[in-house]
Amino acid sequence: MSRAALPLLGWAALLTVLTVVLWIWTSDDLPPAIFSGAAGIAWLVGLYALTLRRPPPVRATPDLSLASVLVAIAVVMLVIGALVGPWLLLIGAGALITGLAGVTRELLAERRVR
Amino acid sequence: VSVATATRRVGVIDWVGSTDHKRIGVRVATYAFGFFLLSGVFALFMRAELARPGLQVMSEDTYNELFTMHGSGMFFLVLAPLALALGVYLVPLQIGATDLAFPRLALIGDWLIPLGGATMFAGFATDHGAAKAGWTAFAPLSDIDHSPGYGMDLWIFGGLLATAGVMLLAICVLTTVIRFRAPGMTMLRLPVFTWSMVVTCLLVIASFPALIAALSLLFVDRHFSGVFESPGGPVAYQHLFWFYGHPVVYVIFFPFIGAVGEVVAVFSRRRFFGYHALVLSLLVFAALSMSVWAHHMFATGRVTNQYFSLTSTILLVPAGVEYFDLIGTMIGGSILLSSAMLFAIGFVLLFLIGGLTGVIVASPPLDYHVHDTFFVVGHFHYTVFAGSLFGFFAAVYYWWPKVTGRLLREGLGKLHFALYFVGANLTFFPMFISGWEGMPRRVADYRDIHNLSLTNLLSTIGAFTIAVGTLVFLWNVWVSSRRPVLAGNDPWEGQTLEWWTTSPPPRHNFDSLPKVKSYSPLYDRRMGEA
Repeated sequence: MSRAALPLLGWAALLTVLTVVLWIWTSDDLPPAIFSGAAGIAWLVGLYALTLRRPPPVRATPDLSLASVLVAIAVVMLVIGALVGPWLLLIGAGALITGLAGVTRELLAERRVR
Repeated sequence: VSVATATRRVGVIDWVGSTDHKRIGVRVATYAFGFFLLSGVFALFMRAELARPGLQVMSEDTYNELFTMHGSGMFFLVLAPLALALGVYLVPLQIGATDLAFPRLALIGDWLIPLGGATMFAGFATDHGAAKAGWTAFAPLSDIDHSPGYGMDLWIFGGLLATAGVMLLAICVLTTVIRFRAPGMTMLRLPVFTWSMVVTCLLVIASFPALIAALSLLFVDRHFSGVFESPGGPVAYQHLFWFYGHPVVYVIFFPFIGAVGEVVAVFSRRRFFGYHALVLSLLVFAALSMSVWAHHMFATGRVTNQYFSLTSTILLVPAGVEYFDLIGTMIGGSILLSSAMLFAIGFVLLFLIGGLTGVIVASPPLDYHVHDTFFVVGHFHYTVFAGSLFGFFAAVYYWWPKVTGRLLREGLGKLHFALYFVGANLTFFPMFISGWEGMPRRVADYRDIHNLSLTNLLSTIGAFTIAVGTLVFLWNVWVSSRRPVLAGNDPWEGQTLEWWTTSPPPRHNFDSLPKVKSYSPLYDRRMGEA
C-alpha cells in the first residue's frame, strides 16, 4: 500500500462531500451527475495510487520511441478520418497497428534487458 | 564553480522521438510558445479592429474566426500545455527521479497537442474558414446550421486531440510523483512546485473528460442527430463545457503559483513560509474549483445560483492562504529583484485584480450586469495573462539556466517585465470600464458612447506594448544563445533537487542525490554548512 495515495483519497472524499451537497441543493440532475462522475474518477485515481508499488532499483527506460510517435499520428488520422472518409480511417488503422507492434517490440526488448 | 556540460547535437529523429522527459518538456513548451505567438498575433489584429469605432481592418466574419482561434489557441494549445510542460520537465528533477513514468505515453501526449493544434488551425484553409463560434462553441451557435463547413469540425477534433494529449501528460506526471520519489522524499517533503503539479494533474484527470464528452457529442450533434436540439440541450452542453472550462483556469494557475512560490523563496533567501498550509489550501482550492463551474451560467436562469455563488466566493479562503504564504515568505527575507522575482511579484499583484473582480462575477446580481461584456474579458485576462503568463515567465527566467546551462540577460528581462506590466494593465484595465458601461464582447465594432473609443484605444496601445515586450524576450533568447553566459549548476542558490545536478541535466538526471529531510533539501544543506 502506498501512503502517497492518502492525499489523493482525501481529495476524492472532499469532492464527494461537495457532490452530495449539490445533489441535496439542486433539483436538476445533470450538474450533480457530471460532478459525481468526476468524484468517481478521483476515487479511481486514489485507489489506483494505493496499489502502486515502489519501482525496482534499476529501471530500463527507452531513449527513443518512433513507434509511439507513429501511434500519435495514427490516432490523429483515425479522428480526422471520421470527417474526411474511410480511406484515412484505413491508413490510420494500419499506422496504429504498426505503431502498437513497434511499441510491443520495444517493451519486449526492455523486458529482456531487465 | 561548475560549468555547463557540452550539449550533444540533436538530430531530427532524436528530436522527434526522444522519450527523455526533459526533451518532451522542452518540445511541448516550444510549440506551445509558437501557438502563443500565433494566437497573440490574432489578438493584435482584433485590437487593431477595435482601436477606433467604425474601422474595418477585417470583415466581421474574419473577426469572429480570429477571436475564436485566439481563445481556443490560448487555452487548448498554449497555457494548459505550457503548464504541463513545466511539470514534465521539472517534476522528475525535483523529486530525484531518473525519468517520467510511462515515457511512451508522455511522448504520444506530447505529439497529440501540436497535431491537434495543426488540425484546429487547418480550418482557415477550408471553404467556410475556421471555427467562428467562440472558444466555448456553445450550441446551437456551433451546430451545422449556424456553423456550416469543415472549420468547426476541425476545431472539434483539434480540441479533442490536444485535450487528450494534455491528459496523457498529466497521468504521467502524477504517476511519477506517486511512484518515483527519491529515498526520503515523502509526500510532505515534495517541493512547492511539485505539489502544485499534483493538484493540477488531479484537476486535469477529473475535469477534462467532460470536454472530451462535450466535443464528441457536438460532433454527433452536427452530423448524426440533434443531441443538443432539445429545449435543455444548449444548457446541457454548457454544463459539460464549463465543467472543463472553469477548472482549466486553475490548471493554468496552480503550476504557476507553485513556480512563483519557488522563485519567491529563492530570491527572498528564505525557506517557503507556511508549507503545510499551502499544501492543504492547494487540495481544498482544487476541490472547490471543480464545484464552481455553473457561475458562468447564471444568466441562463437554469442553475442553482446559491450553491455556485457560495462555492465561488469560498474560493477566496484557500486563495488567501496562498497569498498569505507568499507574502509571509518575503517578509524578513533578503529580497533580490531579479527578472524572475519581478515577474513573480507581478503575478501576485495582477492575479489579485483578476481574483477580486472574480468576486463580482461570482455574485449573480452583479454578474447579470456584466455577463458577456468586456468586463468579463478584462477579468479573465487578468487571471490568465496578467496572472498565469507572468507566473510562466517567472518560471522561464528562473529555470532557463537549468534547462540550457545559460543565463538570460537580466537587463532585457527587466525591460520585458516593464513592458508586460505596463502593457497588461493598459490593455485589460480599460476593459473593466468598457464592460461596466455595457460594451459586449465578441463584437467587431461599437458606437462611440461612454468614452468607449478612449478605453478601446488604450487597450489597443496596451496590446501592442505587450507585443513589443514579447519581441524583447525573443531578442533575449537570441542574444543568450549567440553569446552565452554559462550559468553553472546552481546560479540562484536554489533550494530544491534540480539545482543539485548539472545544467543542463544529463539523460539520467543525477549522478548522486543529497539526503532529503525537508521540502527544501539544498537549503537544509546550505544551512547545515553555515
